[in-house]
Amino acid sequence: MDIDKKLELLKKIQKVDAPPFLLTRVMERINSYTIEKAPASWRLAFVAAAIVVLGLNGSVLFRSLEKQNENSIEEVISSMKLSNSNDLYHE
Amino acid sequence: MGDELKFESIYNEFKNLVFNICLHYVLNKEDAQDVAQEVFVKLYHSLNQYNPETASIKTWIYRIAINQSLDFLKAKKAKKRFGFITSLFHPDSNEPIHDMAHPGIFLEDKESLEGLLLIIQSLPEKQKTAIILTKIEDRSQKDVAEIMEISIKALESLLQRAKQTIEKKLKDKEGF
Repeated sequence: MDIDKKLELLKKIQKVDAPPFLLTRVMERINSYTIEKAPASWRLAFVAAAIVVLGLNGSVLFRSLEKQNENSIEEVISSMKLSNSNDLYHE
Repeated sequence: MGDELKFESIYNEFKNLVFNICLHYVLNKEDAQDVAQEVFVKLYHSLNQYNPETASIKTWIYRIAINQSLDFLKAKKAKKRFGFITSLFHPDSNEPIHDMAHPGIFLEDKESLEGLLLIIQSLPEKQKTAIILTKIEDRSQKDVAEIMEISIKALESLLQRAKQTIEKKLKDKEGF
């Protein structure tokens, strides 16, 4: 089968004119298109809420890190059987 | 006002090109009108972003029309899949999807051309675009490579693979 010959058939497809009402439809769509902006109070509220959420996230993260540090020091002390008393000879 | 005048002159110059490109992808007049409309709305809103140093306006318009047509086909495919599920619950809500009715095909070649177009329709996106632009739109390989933003070698490889797939499908169809 000569595929190139078969594909030559595609050249027989005729060009078609765009419908005359297309521009009217396009212009209608363009003119009806308006970007709706949120009111200023909504935008401010959104910013404030975002700041609060980020602040909370940050504080939770810092607290958990601090706790983790304390826990890990205690773990080392207990695993190595280090004494944390000031007595020299466990008297 | 200046923008609208500029847009209208672009519209008048490229309306047939856009409509025909859309038609080669969606294969019927109704869908092609909808897609062409979307192409021009997009074009109007992104006219300020067009940079003549990166590509000619024709190449840029080709890219918008091709991307919009491919997006439309993806949405249609998804709708078809979703339509099956909704039809199970609401049998009357199954919206008919347009059949193939390319107005540029005349009666004497209708059967063979429609068969060929349906096979092209089933190709992967890049292969489909390569075939449509080189074989139907009759653009040079250099132009097509530029529109598709690929090298000429990559285009040749796409065309080769597309031809192999089409040949195989034609043979299957003809019962070889």
